[in-house]
Amino acid sequence: MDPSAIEQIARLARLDLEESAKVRLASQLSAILEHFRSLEKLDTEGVEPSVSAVDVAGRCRPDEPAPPLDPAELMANTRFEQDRFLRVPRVIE
Amino acid sequence: MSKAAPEARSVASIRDDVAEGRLKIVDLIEETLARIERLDGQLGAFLWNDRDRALERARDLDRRVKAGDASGTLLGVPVAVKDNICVSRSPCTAGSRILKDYHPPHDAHAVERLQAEGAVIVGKTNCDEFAMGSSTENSAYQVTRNPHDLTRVPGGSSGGSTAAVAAGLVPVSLGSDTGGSIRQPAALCGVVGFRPTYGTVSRYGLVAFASSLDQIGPIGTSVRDVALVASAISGYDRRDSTSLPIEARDYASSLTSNLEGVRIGIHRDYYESLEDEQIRVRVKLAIQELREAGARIIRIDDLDLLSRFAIPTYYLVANSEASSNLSRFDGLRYGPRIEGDDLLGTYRGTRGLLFGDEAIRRILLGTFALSSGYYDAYYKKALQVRRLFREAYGAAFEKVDLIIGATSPVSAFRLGQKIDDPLTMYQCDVLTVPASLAGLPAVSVPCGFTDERLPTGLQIIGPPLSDAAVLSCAFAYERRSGFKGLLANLEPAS
Repeated sequence: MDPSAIEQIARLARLDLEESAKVRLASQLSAILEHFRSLEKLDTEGVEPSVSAVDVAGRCRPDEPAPPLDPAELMANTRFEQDRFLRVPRVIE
Repeated sequence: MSKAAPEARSVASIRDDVAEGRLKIVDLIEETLARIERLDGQLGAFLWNDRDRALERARDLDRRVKAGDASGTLLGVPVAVKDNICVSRSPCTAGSRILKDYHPPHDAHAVERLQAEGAVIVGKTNCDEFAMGSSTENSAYQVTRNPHDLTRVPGGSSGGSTAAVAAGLVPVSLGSDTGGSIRQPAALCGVVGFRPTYGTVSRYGLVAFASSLDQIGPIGTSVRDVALVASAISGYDRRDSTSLPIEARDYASSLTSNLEGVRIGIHRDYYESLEDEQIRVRVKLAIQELREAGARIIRIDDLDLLSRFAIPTYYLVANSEASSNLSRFDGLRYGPRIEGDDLLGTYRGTRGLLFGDEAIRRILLGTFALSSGYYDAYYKKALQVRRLFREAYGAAFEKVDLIIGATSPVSAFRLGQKIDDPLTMYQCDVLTVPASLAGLPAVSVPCGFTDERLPTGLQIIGPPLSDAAVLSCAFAYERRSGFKGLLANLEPAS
């Protein structure tokens, strides 16, 4: 893994990184992935992947109306409120 | 610094003294806040305390006690809460700059349950950023020190919650355990830390790191205290889709010190193969104690093939989930925002600047493992090995009721010793991640000191939903060993 590979993954993950960080991360992630590759030694042919610790199928709760969280309190967490909406950078040119 | 243990007030004694009019909650909370103010400067366990709100709550509870209108298993008990668990209108940073000044409008389910039982939240505690770490050094805000040796780490990621209990600042606290973040710091700080069966405590209001592994649990100075808190926070919650449809459970009243006929498994990776001789000796003595308490000790080999694959399996699963969970932090709705030229620039600038080193490392590892071309070789492979872990534990629990061994392969290490070497830091979790992968209940109980006076922990693991049996075994060991809450005394010698 080299700094350009890190740059590509960082782009997918929406992260800006300094050049020096890319160099450092390339070496750290190479060592970590090398260790992770030890899993190749295990034969997992035909083994069903286990996405969870318990086999609970995606249960849905009953769709019942309930009072929402207070919008004013939610909006208190942003400095970018404008007329009860969030102001964000332009999305559509 | 004196090592004499300060007197720990138990949860049950607080509740009884309050209910019977011998103790005013407001006095206890005043005393607790004063102790935190006096001692936490050297420890760094708390990120935030709300004195006024805690005292107001205490006075309200006192009024209700006087009117005969207050009850609860935790009546008047001061509790500290890890800063990745939401307490409404209190800051919740999860140790990250990207959540600076975030005030959730809701309580976590576990916090609701604590309050319903009469507990008083006294503050939020430091942790590794998004609970990613084994030393609490990844917090963006401060370093937390081990109360038994202030030059050493408390473990992590629930280092603040654990250090606060170990220094006698609070009797109990809440932490979260994804790969060992309750059990490992409990071992390093000499207190009891319990990870309940996955799904028995709702994750509602817990800042998500790896959803299929994250579990809230209690930390305390005794098994009984931990059992009382674990009981209070357990039970079904419709707001967590992985919450198990079970009633709240009562672990405390079923604690028994009789282990007659209980089959306890030991595996060499948790015992004989440990490099640290002192930890090996402590585990050996613990096995002897449990045998004397009536348990049958049985050697198991079902985990033979898997132990050395625990770290890659866990870190691939956890980081893949983390890369997805942490994508919600983009600076748009809450927390600070670094404005870029366009939307993408804002995302990238905010995330790149405000996530810490370890969070970035894990997001990148997870993004890589989930990316096209690598998914099968890394993420899917890890999920398949996770299945093998579950099957191996299933086979082991055909032969034994519980499995015991060390909680951590090392005792508390020095601040800064491992922080620049992520892979070495990850190895600290080698004994705790297997139970996490399989969703099993597991507890760490104090197991005595090393020659350097550093605490060690004994881990007890059981099959799914055997939480009561796990805690009972811990209780029996605690009774026999006498290692109840190895508290450190930070008060200046008078």
